[in-house]
Amino acid sequence: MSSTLIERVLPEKRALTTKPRPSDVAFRTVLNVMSYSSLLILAAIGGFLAFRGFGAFKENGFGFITHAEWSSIVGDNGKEVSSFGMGAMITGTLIIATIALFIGVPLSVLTALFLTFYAPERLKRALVTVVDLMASFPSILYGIWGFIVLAPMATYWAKLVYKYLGWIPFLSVPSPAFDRSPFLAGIVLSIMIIPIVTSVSREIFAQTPLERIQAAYALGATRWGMIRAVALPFGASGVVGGAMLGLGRALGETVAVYSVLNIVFKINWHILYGYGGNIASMIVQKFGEASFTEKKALLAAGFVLFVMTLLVNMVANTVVSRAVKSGK
Amino acid sequence: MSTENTPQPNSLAGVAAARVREPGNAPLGSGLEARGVHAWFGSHLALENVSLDFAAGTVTALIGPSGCGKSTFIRTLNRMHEFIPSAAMAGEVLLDGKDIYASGTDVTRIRLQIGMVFQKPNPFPSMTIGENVLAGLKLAQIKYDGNKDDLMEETLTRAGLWNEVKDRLSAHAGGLSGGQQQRLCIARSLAVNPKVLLMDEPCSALDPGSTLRIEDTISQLSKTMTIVIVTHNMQQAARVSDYTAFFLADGGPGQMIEVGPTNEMFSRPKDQRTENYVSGRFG
Repeated sequence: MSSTLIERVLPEKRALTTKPRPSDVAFRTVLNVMSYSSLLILAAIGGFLAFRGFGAFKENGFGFITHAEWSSIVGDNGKEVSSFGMGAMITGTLIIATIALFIGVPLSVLTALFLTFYAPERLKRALVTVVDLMASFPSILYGIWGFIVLAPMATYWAKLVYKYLGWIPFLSVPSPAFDRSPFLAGIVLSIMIIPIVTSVSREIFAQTPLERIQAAYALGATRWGMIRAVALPFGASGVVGGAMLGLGRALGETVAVYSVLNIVFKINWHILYGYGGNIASMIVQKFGEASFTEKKALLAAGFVLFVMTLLVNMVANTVVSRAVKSGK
Repeated sequence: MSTENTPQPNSLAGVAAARVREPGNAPLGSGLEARGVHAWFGSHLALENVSLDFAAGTVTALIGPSGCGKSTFIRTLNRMHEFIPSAAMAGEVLLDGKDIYASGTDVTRIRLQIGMVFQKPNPFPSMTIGENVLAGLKLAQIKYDGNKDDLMEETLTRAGLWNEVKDRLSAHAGGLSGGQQQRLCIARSLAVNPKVLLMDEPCSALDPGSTLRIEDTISQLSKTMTIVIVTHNMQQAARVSDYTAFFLADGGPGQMIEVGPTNEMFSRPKDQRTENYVSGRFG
């Protein structure tokens, strides 16, 4: 078929090169080293956790992920008998993170909408600073505040929720113990994810194309009508990405949760009930007094957390950058 | 000059003269009156003292070189001007005799009565063609009692788009051509039944074929409503408008130099500057 056509002879594509000057080469090398170093550090940490924790994975098998029990007993013969399972901690972490998102994301999105479309310029600047400040606030202070101030209130709220919504399975409690519950930890965490979710949502909403906003207003839209028809559809994927970045933080948060949660190695689906699990806090709690074998297990737990947060953050970043691109 | 008595068919004056409407067409829509309108951006006075009547059921073209304030002016007519931060205005705009800037006015109600079509077609990309047409009802939170399908067909027909989209009303609006999108935007404006339609250079982003279709649409619409159109294209002003107003910013703020019936503006303007502009000597 092609033999009937005249073959076009095209020249080879030329390589487009330049001979860089030594100063450029040097600077570039420095930049390369710097930017790869963070990747290297991350890989080193992951590798270290996987390597040191490997023993625990090997001994406990798949049960390390699924079992809830965590025990290490030194028997009469001086031998250590241990069984490590992360089930309660993993489910606890996910439950608390879900509560945090459930409370924190609506708050953040509404804040972002207010800042973008309602707040007068001065108030907006002040509020943005305050919200950003919340991000840099040390988490132990959230923890202490949560323990001393929020806990009694949250216990009261939990009782209220239980009284009226206790018929919903996960809102019921086996006995009236509402202290140091996943619910409380979730509230503290929700406050901590507000800054990141708010700032990502705000940036997305601020990029809503002016022509679409004007189109809506020119049609007699109320501000709420415009937000519903233009800003929310435009910003939806960005908000999802922001929420996932918040989730990344919620999964890894350590000290604040440690201060308010009663950590018990037993899976608890009753979010108002006074115990729960959390990987990062559990590691903090156990690490100081852990035996050699238990330390291995804790490092393995760290590896699980490492993978979970890494995955969530990677997905979140993809979603956010896609949202930003599709907006243009 | 001979053009005064026997307009050449190809000249602007000829085009405008051919368009003069037969008397007896009952004017519809509502009249709009601008009284001493000034507009600022921050401390910069962009428009000075424009007073202009738009009689019910007429088409008025606003012409003039870039930066003469005609777009600023049209945006004061439905209070879109105030969307630009630091924008300010003085004067009055009367719709059916009532000042749309009066305190206690619900600005969303004003924009329902005075619709607007923008330079760049701006359908909502997350909505289908049909949803776009009805978007105004949802946005303004209006309960529509009639049949929405009928409303969709009626407005799309008036905008001259029905035949092209009737089989794909549930397709996304982004798949339409630029001209179709602009007619969709016109249909969208019509669905909330405005009395006045403002068009800010509606054809400047379109090819000549689409431009003619839009002009056709304007001619059809002018039977039922008051239309104000900003245009850079003097041929277009001559083709579609009953009245033409010429704006100019001579170093200072934009001003309205002259207004009159379109055929007179293009054949025997009173002001030398208008004459220079419509004869293509500048701008």
